[in-house]
Order: sequence, then structure tokens, then C-alpha cells
Amino acid sequence: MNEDISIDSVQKREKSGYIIISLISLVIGIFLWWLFTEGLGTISHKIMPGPIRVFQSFFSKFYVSAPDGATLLQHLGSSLQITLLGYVIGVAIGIPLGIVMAWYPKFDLFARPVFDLLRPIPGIAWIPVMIVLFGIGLLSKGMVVFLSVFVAITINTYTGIQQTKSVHKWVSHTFGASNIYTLFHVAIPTALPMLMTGLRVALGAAWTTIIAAELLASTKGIGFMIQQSRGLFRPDIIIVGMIAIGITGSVLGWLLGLLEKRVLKGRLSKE
Amino acid sequence: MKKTTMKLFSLLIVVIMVCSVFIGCTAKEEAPKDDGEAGTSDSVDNAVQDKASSGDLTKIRVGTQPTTIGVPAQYALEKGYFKEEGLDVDLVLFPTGAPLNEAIAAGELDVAANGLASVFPLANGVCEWIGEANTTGGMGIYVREGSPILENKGEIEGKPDMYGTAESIKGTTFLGPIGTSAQFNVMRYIQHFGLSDADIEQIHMDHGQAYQAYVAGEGDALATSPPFSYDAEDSGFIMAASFEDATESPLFDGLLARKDYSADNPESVKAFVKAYYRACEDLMSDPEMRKEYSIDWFTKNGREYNEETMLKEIEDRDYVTQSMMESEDYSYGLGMLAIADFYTFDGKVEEADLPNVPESFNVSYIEDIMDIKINIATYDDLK
Repeated sequence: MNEDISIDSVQKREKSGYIIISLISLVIGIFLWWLFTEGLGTISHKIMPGPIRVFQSFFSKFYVSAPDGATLLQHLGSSLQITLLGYVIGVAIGIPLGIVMAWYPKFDLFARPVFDLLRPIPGIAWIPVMIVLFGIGLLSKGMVVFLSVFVAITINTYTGIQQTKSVHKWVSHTFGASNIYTLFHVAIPTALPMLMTGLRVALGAAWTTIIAAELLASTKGIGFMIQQSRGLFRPDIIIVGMIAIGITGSVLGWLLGLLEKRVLKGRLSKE
Repeated sequence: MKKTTMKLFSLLIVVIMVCSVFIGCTAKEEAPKDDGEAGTSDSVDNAVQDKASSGDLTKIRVGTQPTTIGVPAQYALEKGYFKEEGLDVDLVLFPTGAPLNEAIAAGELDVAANGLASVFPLANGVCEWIGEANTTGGMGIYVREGSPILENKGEIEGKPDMYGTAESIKGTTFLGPIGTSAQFNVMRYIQHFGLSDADIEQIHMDHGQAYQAYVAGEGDALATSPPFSYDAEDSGFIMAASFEDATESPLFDGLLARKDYSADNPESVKAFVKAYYRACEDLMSDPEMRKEYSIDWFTKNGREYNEETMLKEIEDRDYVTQSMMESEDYSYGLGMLAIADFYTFDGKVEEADLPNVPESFNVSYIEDIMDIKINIATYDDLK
């Protein structure tokens, strides 16, 4: 009992030690940033703003719409709408496609060439096509995000299903399970960790694509805000946009992590 | 043995290919010198070549765009005008003004030939406005046939060709790049009818994308510039307002120099300005040559121009020459002041930065080169 408590306290101490190290690295990073910008004044704030100016801009952007026509929350709301639309469609199509491609070799032969052809094309290259196919509304931007999500989620699902051990499939079939039953009760549960990783990777991809998506006919959005600030000598707003993308991506990733824990924990307890 | 022979043979082929690439590059670089042109004698060419080969040329990094503004820079480069002035120009092309601004702010460029986006480095005190290069005609707002905007014409006094009423414009979706002359055009147009940006929707798209989307049936109106404005006319779209009618501002593309570079290298900046204006004079004095040269250069840089659209551009856009700058109605920097003043409405230019724009006007290079006196605009001229 006492041994358990001492192991626990050692683990806690180690954990808090790691947090302190991380905090120190963060503080040193911010200090160096401040030193070379606002501290020594070696670089003009119009070229590289210091942390104080960036934090001021970050907070003022919650109520000031200049110079890009909207507040940070309005931009964030617009970007979230596009990202989540693309993400949901990507997941809804990518997961079934990955499963079917991995489970049915003939379908894999049929779909793979097209998938491999589309896979390396970056989102930004799709913009002219999206305008023609889906116009300039929310859907076209969502589709640019969808393409990056779709690729990540399909590949992870495909790999996850393919990792099902042959012996498990044989056992299932030996006990009289149908192909579909084996898929749903053996292969998909096996693929769940990979699938959850795919969901996380796809979320990251969705956030990185938002900049490209908002090049397409925008009036609001974090990507739009960054793009507008590029030519206006407002690098502080660009960094605010980057911070907003980072924080939002981390929060969404954390939420997904909670879901992952819940889904995988349930699966493990059943097993 | 056979393997070794093959390896040696492959190596030989690679060496020959690499050498041929370098030979090809050298031949191309020398081409402008051999090219010659009216007004450049053989002796001058030889002098230039001597100077170039002696290696005493001053390196200067120039940014521009493959548009009207970039033609004189490319022309001067090819004809060896920069070398004659002792400059070794590294010409970098940008698709729009925004990334060019970034490059000049980062110290990656020394001087630039840029459009309306120049107002931001001027307002931020990064650059000097060292010359105006060309007028910017041919821009406008286009609508489809049957648009309600076309139901009324000439409602605004003194604007007989301008279409629209407050009711018909309200709620219109305009396509075009925000933060450029297109937005300036739209905002000034709607202001004539007592409307503000809250009454319309402006969707940010690059000129090419906006045109493509408009043709595909998106949006209600298109704010664009050449060559897309000419394409819009050819596609049957109708100009609701020209840039000149809507903004009442003479807009000029122009030349920028980084302030620190200009202070440290005034002779290089002066040499650049001199060679650039020499190219402007050449292009203005020979429209046929300008047409051929511009089409060729635009096409090489992915801009679709045919003879007809180029002739329209030549009609709409003049290069600035000495005689233009000497004329009484020429007011240096008036367009930049109008734009700076305009952009305070949405905070793109901060009120506090407004004085930086006239302070950035530096006509000393032009006045020294041409021995003329230039009339400089002030904010009072906008009233």
C-alpha cells in the first residue's frame, strides 16, 4: 500500500517536473522573442512585432474589426464553420471508403488509382475547380477542406483494417461468422486505434487547409484575416491568426482525445 | 569492365548536359546586348559590355509584377539600360502587390515598381515614392445584361455614363480583390449613392478567380482591371462605372525604394529611376513596339493578351514621361494620397500614419535627372 503511494508521488513529482521544464522553455522562447524585437529594438514592429504588441493585438482583435473587417471571434466562427463542414463530410465519406477499399480487394483495385491520383494534389490547386463545381459559397470552401480530411482519414482507416490479423479472420470464419459480421466485429474494432489517429491527423489537415480554403472568395475567416494582413504591414495580426489557429486546433484535438479515450476504453473493457 | 564503361559514358553525358545548360544560360544573358535598338550605338554597347565584364556593376534587387508597371523594368533590363547606368539588376516578379510588399519590408528587395498596394509601405514609413510610372485606366465595375443596376443611368450629377440607383445597388454582391483598386472602386461607386459597405457584400477573390466565378454565374457585379476588364467587355458584360468616374482620382502605379536603401545608395536609386524612365519614353514613343513587346512578355508570364486587348490597354494606360510631369495639371502623388485617405475608413491605413504618405514623396531623383520642377500633391488637393 505504502509502496503504491510512494510510486504515485514519484510519478506526480516527475510529471510536475516535466511541466516546469516545458514552462521554462516557453518563457525562455518568449523572452528571446521579446529581447530581439521590443527589448533591443533591432527589428521594427512593422516587420516582426514583439510579444507585447502581439498580445495587445490579440486582445484588441476581440472587439476591433480593423484592418480586415471583422473581429477575431467573427473570423473564428466563419473558419470553424468551414472546417467542421469539410471535416464532417470528409469523415463521413473517408471512413466507409477506407473500410471498403481495405476489405474488398476488387473494389480496392477499382478505387485506388483514382484515390492515388487525387491524394497528392494540394487543396489550393483545387480552388478554380471548386469555383466552377460549387460556386463561391460555404460549400466550395468546405470541399477544399474536405479533400485534405478525406485523404488522411481514408488512408488511416484503410491501414487500420488491413492490420487485422489473418488468424483472427480465420477464427471468425471457422465459428461460422459471415464476411460482414467479421468486418464489423473483428476488423473494425481492430482498426479503431488507427481510425482515431486518422481523425486527429485529419483535424490537423483541416486546420492547415483553412488558409488555402479562405483564399477562395472570402469575406471572413482566420485565413482571410491572415491573407489581408500580409500586404498591410500588420504582422501582429498574422501572428494573432496563427495563435488562434493553434489554440483552436489544440482545443479540438483535446476534445477528440477525450473521445478517443472513451471509445477505446470501452472497446478494451469489452475485450 | 562493361559496367565501368557504361558508368563513364553516363558521366560523360551528364557533364555534356550540364555544360550545355550553362552555355544556354550564357547565350541568353548576352542576347540583350547583341540585340541593340534605336538610340543605342555600338560604342555604347561595347562600353556597357566592358563595364559589365569589368565587374564594377552595382547589384540592385528590383521587384515588380508582370503587368503594365513591369514592362519598362523588363524592357530596360533587356536593352541594357540598367547596365549602362552601372546597375546589375536582379528582377523578381510577384503575382500581386501584397507579397511584393512583404518582400520589400523584409529587406529582400531594394526598389520596386508596384501598383496601389504601394500605399501600405508608404503609410508605414518603410519606403519612398520615387516616381510614378503609368496611368491606370481600363478598370471598372461590370454587371450582366438584365441587372437592375442597368435600369437607371446618369442619376448622379456630372456622371452621365454611370449606372445605378441606391435601391438597385443595395444588396449587390461585388466580386474582386479587397485591399486593391477594385475595393477602392466599389466603395467610391456606392458612396455616390449614399451607401456604405454595410449595404453591399464584397467577396475577396483575385482578379482571375473573380472573373472566372463571375462568368460561371456567381456574384452580381465584378470590380476588375485589365486584361480581365477587356475580357468582361468581350463577354458582353456592361460597365456600370469606370474607375475614373467612380473614384474621381487619377491613379498611378509607381516606383518605390526602401528608405534605408535610398539613404545609403542614392546613386543606385537615381540610376534605376533614370533607366526606368528611359524605357517609359521608348515605350510611349513607339506604340507598335510597346504592343509587340508587352504581348510577348505578358504571354511568357502566363497572362493572356491578344492584339485587341493590348491595343485597348495602350489606349487606356500611358507611361509617365517627362512631358507629362512638366504639364500644369500633373500633381505628383495625388492618387496615393486619395487611396491612403480612403483606407482609413476600415483601418487598413491608420489615421496616425496618414502624414507618412506625403512625407515619403521623393522627387529629387527625377528632378536631378530631368532638370525639371515637379508639382507635389498635398491632402488639401483632395478637397
